[in-house]
Amino acid sequence: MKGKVFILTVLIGASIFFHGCWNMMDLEKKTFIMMMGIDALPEGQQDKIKVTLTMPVPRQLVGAEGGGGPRPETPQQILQSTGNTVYGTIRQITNRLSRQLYFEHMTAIVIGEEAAKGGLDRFLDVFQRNKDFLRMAKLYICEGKAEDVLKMETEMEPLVVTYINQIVHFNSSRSLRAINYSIGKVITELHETNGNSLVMRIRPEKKEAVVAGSAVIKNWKLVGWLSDRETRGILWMLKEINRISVETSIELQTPQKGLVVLDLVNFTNKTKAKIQDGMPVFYINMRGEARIVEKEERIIKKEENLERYEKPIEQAITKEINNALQKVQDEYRVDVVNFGEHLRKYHPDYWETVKEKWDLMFPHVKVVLNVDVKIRRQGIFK
Amino acid sequence: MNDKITTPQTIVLIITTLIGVWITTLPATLAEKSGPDSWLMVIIGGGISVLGAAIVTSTGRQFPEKTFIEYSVETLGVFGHLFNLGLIIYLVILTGMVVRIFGEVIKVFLLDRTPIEVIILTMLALCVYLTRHGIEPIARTAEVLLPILMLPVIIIYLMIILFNGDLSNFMPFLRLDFKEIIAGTKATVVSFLGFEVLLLFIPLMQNPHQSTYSSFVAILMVSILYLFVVVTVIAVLGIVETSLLIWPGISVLRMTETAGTVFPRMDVVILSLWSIAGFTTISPMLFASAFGISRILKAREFKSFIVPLVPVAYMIAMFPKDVLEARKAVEAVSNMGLFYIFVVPLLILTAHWIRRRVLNR
Repeated sequence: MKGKVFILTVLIGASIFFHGCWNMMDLEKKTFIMMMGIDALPEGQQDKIKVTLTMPVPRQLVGAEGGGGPRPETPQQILQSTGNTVYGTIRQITNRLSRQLYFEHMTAIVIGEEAAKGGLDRFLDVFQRNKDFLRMAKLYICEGKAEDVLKMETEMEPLVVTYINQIVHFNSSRSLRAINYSIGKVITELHETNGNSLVMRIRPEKKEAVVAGSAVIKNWKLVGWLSDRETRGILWMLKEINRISVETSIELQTPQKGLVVLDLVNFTNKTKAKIQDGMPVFYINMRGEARIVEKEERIIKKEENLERYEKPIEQAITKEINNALQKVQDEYRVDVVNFGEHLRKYHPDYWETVKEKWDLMFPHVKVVLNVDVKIRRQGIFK
Repeated sequence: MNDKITTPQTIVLIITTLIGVWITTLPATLAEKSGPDSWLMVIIGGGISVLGAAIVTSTGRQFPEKTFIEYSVETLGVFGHLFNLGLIIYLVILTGMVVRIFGEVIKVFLLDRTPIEVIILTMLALCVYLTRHGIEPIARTAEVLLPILMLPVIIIYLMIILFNGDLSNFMPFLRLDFKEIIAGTKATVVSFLGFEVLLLFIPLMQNPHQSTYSSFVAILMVSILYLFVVVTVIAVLGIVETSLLIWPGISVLRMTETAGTVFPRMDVVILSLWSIAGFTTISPMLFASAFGISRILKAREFKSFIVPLVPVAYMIAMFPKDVLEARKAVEAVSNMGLFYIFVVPLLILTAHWIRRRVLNR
């Protein structure tokens, strides 16, 4: 009995302390890639790409005084190489590295404007095929060159990747001006619509970046941009809005001179489609609440009639949506608002007849908007 | 300790045998074959599996003391020997394929530099260790491992569907033609394969008359779990993406965000459970093969047949050259399984009835 207990203890102890480390890899032998940028090369070498990776330099991140070598103290190091394919180029970078590349913490991928214009399909495959790449990483398309984003020297956060991902995190839920799509979501969207989607837009500046607006992908290629207001117009219509409580401000010209700023919360939308004369008409019903956050009016009233702002704000939202719709319908002619998907789901018979020519039909689709906003609060001041 | 299993143990044993490698691939097969109506196919497939289990167990209950090996010969004569041989071959091939798919997932997601041969052989060795001790330890292991397996799976997938699921992915509803229904149902029934071990296990039960009841409960539980997983995966990924992925059940865990901020990288949890799922599927099958052979040869002990089976199962496992070929092979083998569930027991029942009533024997 005693012997058995002893053996059992040894076995349990062994299984706790000696479990599978046989191909152990020291942490300092690995390079944690935080971010990847993909750029097209200039004229003459169009089919080649330039891949930029950033890795953090932990010593600089901690900010230890007295440390640091002769190099300027940036908390991140840039690795670059050119090649034909994404993974092939990464492998070339390893030729110059004393460490193993490790991608499971890469949370942002930036694709340059020129590269995106040539088509996303050739870059995205590597991220869906290999399990090393996180599908929840954010995908950005950059105005200009992707490497500028990666080489940016941010002041707010030590690492560029935390900086831009945090912008998205707050922007998508607070001001609703960026479309918070991870690379997995974009890939899913592209597969479902055969190459149409929106991707977050990023614009690098010297020390900061603007993450707002979106890039329009049509047939796997970048065809243009939507501004931040237009992106919000599209976002009102997408289903995503149902899930988060949206807080966004809207400026309003009131009958009396002066602007009023309102925060919108709890927005929900319901889309219905009806087929009239062979063409679908989309009825979008939106409801939401608003609260006043700023008023330029000089008149102070004892009893404010909040309802008088409701009509104008409804009109403002309708206008914003219509602007955005006009842009995607007339200018880009690409269905990024998932109307085709809606028809596929709820009008399957009709969809079978139109799915071949949907790209041509989409610009002529009518949308009837019905926005209903209730103003519930006016802050803590009359 | 008479090497017999109780009714609850039988239920648990069947559940763990059924929940195996298919749980990760079923959503892809279904999304590809029957689109938004996949969830319906799981229900229909579960129903058909219940029917199959009813056929298998009611045949077995006619001969509560005997296994398929004996009563097939008793009723069908020479053909019985053929069917017996076929059953053993089928079980060994299925064991090999299951262990291969198990190994593929481990290699792709966890141990990408370990040779797959090592993964497969370790798993087989572990199963040999367990199966040498007979049916009761296998059932007891299943009893211990089932909650460890089920609870995390349910909790993790529940979190994913609550935060990321979009049930409109199941629209349009009921737009399948007959062919697609057949294809989808077959895909589900295939993933329920494994309960044909009951052909051999009924005399090992303490109470063989409860075998039908046990298999019903087990298949019901497994259907619910499968339904839950299929609904989660398709609700999160959509039909198109699900059908494009090879292991959507695991990939879905790698791309969800909301739940991921609380517990990032939940795929690791599922992958460690994956070994349990594989282990509890492979062991009963290996045991069934060895036990069947011992009955064919009328040997007193089954233990000596387990180790010789390992190289055979290993060779079969290594035979397909890639994952897709392995999955095709599984589909081919599964036809044989359907044959042993629906056709052979009915043949035996008819022969048995004719012998008893017509020939008065």
